[in-house]
Amino acid sequence: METKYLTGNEVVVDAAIAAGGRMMFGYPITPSTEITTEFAKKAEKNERLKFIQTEDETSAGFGVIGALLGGEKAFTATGGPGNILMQDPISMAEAMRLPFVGIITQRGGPSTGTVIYSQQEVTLTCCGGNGEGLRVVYSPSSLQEIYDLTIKTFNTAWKYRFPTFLLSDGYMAKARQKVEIYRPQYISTTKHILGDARKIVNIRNTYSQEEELNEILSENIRDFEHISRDIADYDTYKCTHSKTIIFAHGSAAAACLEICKERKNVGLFRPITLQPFPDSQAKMFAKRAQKIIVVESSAGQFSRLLKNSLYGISTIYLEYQRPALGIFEEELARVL
Amino acid sequence: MNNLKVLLSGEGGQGVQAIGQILNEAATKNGFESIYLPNFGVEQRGGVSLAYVQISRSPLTYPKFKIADLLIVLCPRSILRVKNYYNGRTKILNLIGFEEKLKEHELSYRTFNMLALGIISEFLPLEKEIIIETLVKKFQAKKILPELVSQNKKAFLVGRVMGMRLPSRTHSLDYKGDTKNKRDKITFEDDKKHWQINPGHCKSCGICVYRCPSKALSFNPKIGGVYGMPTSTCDIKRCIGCGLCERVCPEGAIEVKKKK
Amino acid sequence: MIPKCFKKESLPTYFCPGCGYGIILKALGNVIDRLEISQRSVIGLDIGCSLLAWDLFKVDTIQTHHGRTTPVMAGFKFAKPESVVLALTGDGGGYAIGLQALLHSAHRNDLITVILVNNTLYGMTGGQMAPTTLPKEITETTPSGRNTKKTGLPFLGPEIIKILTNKHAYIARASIRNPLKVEEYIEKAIKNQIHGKGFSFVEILSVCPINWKTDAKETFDFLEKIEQAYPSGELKSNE
Repeated sequence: METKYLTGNEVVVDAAIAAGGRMMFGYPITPSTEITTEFAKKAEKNERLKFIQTEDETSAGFGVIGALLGGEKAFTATGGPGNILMQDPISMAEAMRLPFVGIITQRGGPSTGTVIYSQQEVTLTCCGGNGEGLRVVYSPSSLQEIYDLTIKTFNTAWKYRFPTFLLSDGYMAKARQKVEIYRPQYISTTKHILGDARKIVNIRNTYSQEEELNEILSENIRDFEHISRDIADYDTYKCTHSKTIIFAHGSAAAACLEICKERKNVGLFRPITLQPFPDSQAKMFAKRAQKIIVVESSAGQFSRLLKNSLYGISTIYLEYQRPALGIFEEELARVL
Repeated sequence: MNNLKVLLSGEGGQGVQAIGQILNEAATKNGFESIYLPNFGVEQRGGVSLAYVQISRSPLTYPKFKIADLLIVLCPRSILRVKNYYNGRTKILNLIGFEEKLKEHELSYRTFNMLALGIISEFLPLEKEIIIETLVKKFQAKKILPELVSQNKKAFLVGRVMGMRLPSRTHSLDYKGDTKNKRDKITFEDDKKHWQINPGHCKSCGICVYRCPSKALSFNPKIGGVYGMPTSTCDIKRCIGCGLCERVCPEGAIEVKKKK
Repeated sequence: MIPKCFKKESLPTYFCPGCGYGIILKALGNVIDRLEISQRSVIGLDIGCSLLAWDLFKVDTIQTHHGRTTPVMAGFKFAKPESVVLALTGDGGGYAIGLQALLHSAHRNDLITVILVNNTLYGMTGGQMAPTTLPKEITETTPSGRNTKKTGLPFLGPEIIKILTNKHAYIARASIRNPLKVEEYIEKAIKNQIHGKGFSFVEILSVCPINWKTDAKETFDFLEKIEQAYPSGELKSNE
């Protein structure tokens, strides 16, 4: 265990390596660039690490796929327009149950937007691509949590074989703070999917008939529902007795936590996994409150996810939306 | 009349879609509502081809259906493909092997789908003249030679007569034959060389016939290949055993050996 | 003769009658047999007619996305350098949507072998124009013939790759008219990878009688036109 003073992006690199990450395919894009450059630096000093800068994010994603087919824990990092390009390889990983690991640093969108911050890539990361969104998405709300959850991202991807993401943002990526760096107790094993001399595999992602595809999808959906119980995670602060509960995720939740500490009757429900979403627990707390306020730096992407889980309750439901803006106590206070 | 659901199935290349399109257009000309949907897999040629045709007096909105009222099967591979698309009430026309009947009437094997159309039309409430008009127009639009257009028309009429004579009860889809195109290999040899073809792998592309330097190869309409079309045969006297046909056959259907 | 590394139960293939892939894949199969690399080879397939080979070989195969075979197989080679990595793609996957990845992989001298089948159009989707379509050639998106003033001249892929690659690359072009030449170049390309020299690329001029709507003779007549536009030979051979 070591205490280090790092930026969110630097934390990702340390965590990835602690989790067994050996290969990174990257293309620079703000605010994720330091993940790429830091890993490149480390790879020059450490023979066991390999860094490849590709010509764009699409090739980075497909390179990751190639490497993990060969049994290596490979990952990539991107955000914004790069996240869009990444959906082509992510869809392939989703279809073929490949342990794709991606670190996403959200920035203002759509299009080039800002290079700074937002929570506007929730929908894209959870269900971009032309599939059903069978992906696991972790939303850290502190730099320490970035360390913990990056390790979890690798473990979850390799254990359950669904594309798994750490959904960070530009503020956390660039912020600097004290972080505890430790060796994880558990890191998942790998196995190669292609190139095992003991058996031949012919793998495809194209089917001739609707029924063939539906069968594969049904199996994958069943698997995903099954693992949801193990993986769905959340945190609460003062939810049990509060009349008002704020629902927020990521660094917006961190801002709300400060606000809740100063208010008597305001609690916070914070999903740690956006997908699978902690449905039943969210519903349980929401039912008990008199009023819930959904806070996000987007125009409703998180709220849409939440409403899915809360269907049927009659608690007052308010939305506080600040697309591409930070969350500040003074402004939120007016609503509370 | 309720919505009549017709499902056609055959090998890609048997002309299943042409039948579907003609029925669709003829039904419309006949004053019915009709909707047609093609369905095939990724291959351009060789996958099982399905055509969905619905004929109704009331407006139709959805192009696809699950259980057919009338199911037509043109090749053995379709049987597996359509197993979930019919029930006890479906009328089944099993036309596997009906290509043979074309020879009796000196019709080209390429008119098989029109023969099938003729048979099918006997079970549909469409006027014969309208179907003929539609099929002629379709073939003329494709710029097909006039003799072939009239062959197609003749095949249709022959089919219609056959259709009248078919028993009205449903056909069975028990096919005892092999659906995987396994056929015996055919060998020609003399004391210098040995030439063999596996007709079950021959797709009648004609490359071997074209490339043979001694013009020893030709098409034999009596032995059908993967799609029932003529396969290659060898005049061993002309063959020089060079093996070029073996090298250029895309399916590896030919084997040539020189003897010592 | 059918290569030993073919799955006999996968014959006849899914390819159309007269498709050039039959000749090309037999050539590849013969090379795999001769070099005895079936156990350590992996073949990546593009989305296009190459995917029809997905269960033809007793060799690991994987379908990727359109134009993405090269980056996937390059990534795999980084993870498993001891394997023999092949990327099979077409003129669309290689020279259109996948051109960027192909050029950069070549530029980086990735130790993979790319086999690109050029039949001057997009076969699987019904015969649309490709970068390699000949002037005045009729395709589904050039119904009155390709107008090169508006759509560009025939695309010389191996020539461009030659400029981008270093001296250790192997670059060649062959026509299916000569199956033995196809086999020879594929073998040299794979050996270039096995000996750790460099990026290897073979473009193979092929035929598509179904979308060309030609019989056997017309098919080979058109192939001659293609051979005139795209000269065969070894552009870079590392010797």
